[in-house]
Amino acid sequence: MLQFIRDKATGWVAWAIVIMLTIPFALWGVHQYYVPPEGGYQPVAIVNGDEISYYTLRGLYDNRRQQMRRSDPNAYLTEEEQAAERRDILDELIDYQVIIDTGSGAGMRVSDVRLSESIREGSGFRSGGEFSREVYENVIRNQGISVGQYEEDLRESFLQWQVVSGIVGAGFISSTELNDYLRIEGQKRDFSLLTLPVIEPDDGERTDEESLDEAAIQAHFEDNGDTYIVPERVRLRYVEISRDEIAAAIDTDDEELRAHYETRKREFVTEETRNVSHILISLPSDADDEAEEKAKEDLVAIRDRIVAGESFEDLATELSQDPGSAQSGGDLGVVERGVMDASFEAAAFALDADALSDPVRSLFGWHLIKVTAINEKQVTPFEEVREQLLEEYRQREAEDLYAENVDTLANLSYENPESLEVAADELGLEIKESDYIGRSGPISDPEDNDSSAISHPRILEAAFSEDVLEGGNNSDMIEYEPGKVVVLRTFDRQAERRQSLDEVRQEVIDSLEAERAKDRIVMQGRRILADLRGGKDPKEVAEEVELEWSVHEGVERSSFELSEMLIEAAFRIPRPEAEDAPQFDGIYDPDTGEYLLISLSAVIDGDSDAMEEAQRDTTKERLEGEIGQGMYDAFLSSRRKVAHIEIFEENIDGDLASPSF
Amino acid sequence: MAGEEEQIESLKKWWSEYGKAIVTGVLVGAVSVGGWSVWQNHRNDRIERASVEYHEMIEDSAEGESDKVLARAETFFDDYPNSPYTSLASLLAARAAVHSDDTEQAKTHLQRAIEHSDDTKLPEVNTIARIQMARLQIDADDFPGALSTLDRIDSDPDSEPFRNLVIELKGDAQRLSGDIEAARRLYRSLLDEKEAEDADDDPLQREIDRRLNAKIDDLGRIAESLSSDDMVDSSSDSDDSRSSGDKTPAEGAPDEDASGDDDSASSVDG
Repeated sequence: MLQFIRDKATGWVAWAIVIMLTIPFALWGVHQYYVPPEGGYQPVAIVNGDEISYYTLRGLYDNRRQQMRRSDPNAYLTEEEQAAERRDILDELIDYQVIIDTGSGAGMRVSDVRLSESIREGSGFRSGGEFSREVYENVIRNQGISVGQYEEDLRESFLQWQVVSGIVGAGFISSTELNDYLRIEGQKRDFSLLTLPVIEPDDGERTDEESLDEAAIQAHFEDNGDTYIVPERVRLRYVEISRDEIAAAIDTDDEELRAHYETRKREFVTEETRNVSHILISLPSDADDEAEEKAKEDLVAIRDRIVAGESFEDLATELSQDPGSAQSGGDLGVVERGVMDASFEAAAFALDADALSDPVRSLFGWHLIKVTAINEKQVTPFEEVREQLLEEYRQREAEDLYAENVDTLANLSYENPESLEVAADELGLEIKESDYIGRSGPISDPEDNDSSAISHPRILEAAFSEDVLEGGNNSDMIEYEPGKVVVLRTFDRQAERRQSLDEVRQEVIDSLEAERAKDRIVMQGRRILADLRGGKDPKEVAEEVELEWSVHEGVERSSFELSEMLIEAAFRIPRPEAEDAPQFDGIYDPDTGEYLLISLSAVIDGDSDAMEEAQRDTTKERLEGEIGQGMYDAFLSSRRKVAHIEIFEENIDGDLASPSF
Repeated sequence: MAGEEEQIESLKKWWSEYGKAIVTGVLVGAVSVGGWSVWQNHRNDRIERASVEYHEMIEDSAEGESDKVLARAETFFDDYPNSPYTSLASLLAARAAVHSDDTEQAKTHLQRAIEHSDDTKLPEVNTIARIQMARLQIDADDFPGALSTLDRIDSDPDSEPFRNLVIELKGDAQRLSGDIEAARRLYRSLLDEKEAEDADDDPLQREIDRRLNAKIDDLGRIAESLSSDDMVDSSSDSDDSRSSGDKTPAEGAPDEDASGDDDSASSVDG
């Protein structure tokens, strides 16, 4: 079955499998995380008479959060998002139950044979490659459920799979539909563009402040009143503890560091190594005396030849019986102590550089050894590692101090909720003040250095929480990233406010001018468009405005070279009726303030016959998957309507808000 | 004692009167309970065998082995004409038949799903089969047939959840039969509805929206429809006052505020 999943994890099967696996696998193991407290079995929902218990929801929720934290340790959900997540999970649980009830209500059954087959096939219950009843029962019991319960869960998940797969797997698409889709999706268009630039106002109607009609400004301000609302804002006072800052402030004397240096000295020493070459006459360790003598004599003869002036490397290549090193002139590379045969090592480390050893007997035979280089033992002096030691010392020391300070801050700011001063004085911390922030982030000066902390969602959430904003209390302590905590309170709160015309006069004028500029250019654009549609030569039109048409051929719908807005416009122009009778259209681009005239000369439909079969099949599979999924969604929502579902809102959040681990 | 004998005597009398009936009753009861459970076992057994066969069919279908699915289908529907799996298996078989280019066979399977699903308490399967039937009718250029199939689903309030699927297919049928305006209206209504209900950010939904927009685009619609009224308008000074009532330029949707309503646009289809 696993092989099957791997092979087929595409298309609608993937949908079905994902749906099938999420719930049972997530439920699996729930029991080990959560021991329900008194009353923990209260239902969060009842589906057709079957209860979904609070602790099932809780376990699933905790699992998800853990997964999330594993993939992103800084991931953060606001309380609203957490509540939404719980609702999503509850919905999934309800869906799951609804589908199971659908299956059993229709009379579907999963046989014992099928069930036991799948248990036996599973890899989790094996001992020595064979299914083991004992292992099976132990594994199940370790999850805190009975074997009977497990088998019932498994049976249900099979039933659910049968229903889901049947519906999702019903999705097919006809060849007409596929070709039609490919024709539209693969469509390319040829068009030309004439870009009318922003028109500066004529000198006559120069729009400095005086010449702009006061009534028009007033009217524009009133029409766009909502643009000039400043949202509710507040400033923060906060104290922050940062582990890195604590670490940076820690100092120590060299004596202390030297002591660390001495105890860890081995880390800073590189032992002596040598580059060694050898010539081997190999001999088994149990060879008789005669063979020993013979080998030794051979080696002495070789040694004499080298002493007489022949090259060690050449002779090694020619005569050494060590196939690994002979090719490279006997070179064994860099050798350190404790690696080679003991007598070999003793000899190699006793030689001077470039000296030749006498024959040496090792486990492998007789060697003639030559040391080509000696790499002296290296000791990194204290001075060179001082910084590193200091940094490590600081981090270690800071760890405790940080934890201690964080504790103190949490306690003092909680015990004195109306002020941060007690905590700040005790810890010698500065009380910082932020600029204005709104519910969605800093309002002014987002470049401010402090704003990274201040715009963190957890901090915003705390600042605008009822207790802090309305109650005027210190916030809880917030660890907004590892090693950084903040406690904050608010001041200088300002309600949402509509600015007066005097305050925003310049903005209003700018906006009004932009609007007039738009009107001017749209008017010009439409005039030209009318000419073009009336049959005027596009070249002539371009010459009149001293511009040129830019030609774009074979543009695809997904092209990134042109703006999305332009592509959309170009793709919905009706087809030209003849080759030399382009269709014209125009759009205003609000980003640039330009007006674009489009001349569509050709539409080239996607040709499914010209497509490679593999690509065709991929598209087909995807579309069938979408159809299947669409059918399933509709099926599910229809079944949910028929099902009797009761949700106990008051039980859903339970004590979920506080983490259980 | 006389009382005791009397009692025994009356018991005997009672037994001779009712004994036969009681024995018969007990026997009939035992036999029918036994028979019921034997029949029940037999029935469950059959369902479970159908279940296994259906399970295999899903796996074959998922592996793209249409031939194997069709081979199983040959015996499955004879062996289990009325099982809880019959209608779902029919859907799978229809898909396999389409993949083997055997449209006629596919229709037979879908027809079975339509007829059978009503008595398995799965009316949704009936709807799904009808939708797929309409696909095949469109494929065969039987647009009136497809539309009437889809209209029947559309008029059934119980199949409301399938409405989006039905409307898009209706749009396709209209478009391919040449009724551009009707197609545009149908596609448009789907998109407008979704906008109105502020559909959530589901990737499948986004993909469908994209597809609908592409289909509408293909029907052709110009952004600037310069009717003669517009021309008078835009060449006079009143143009200023007209557009100054709009939102600020940065927010205004330029194509929409210029073109008026979508359906007035001219259109050409290939």
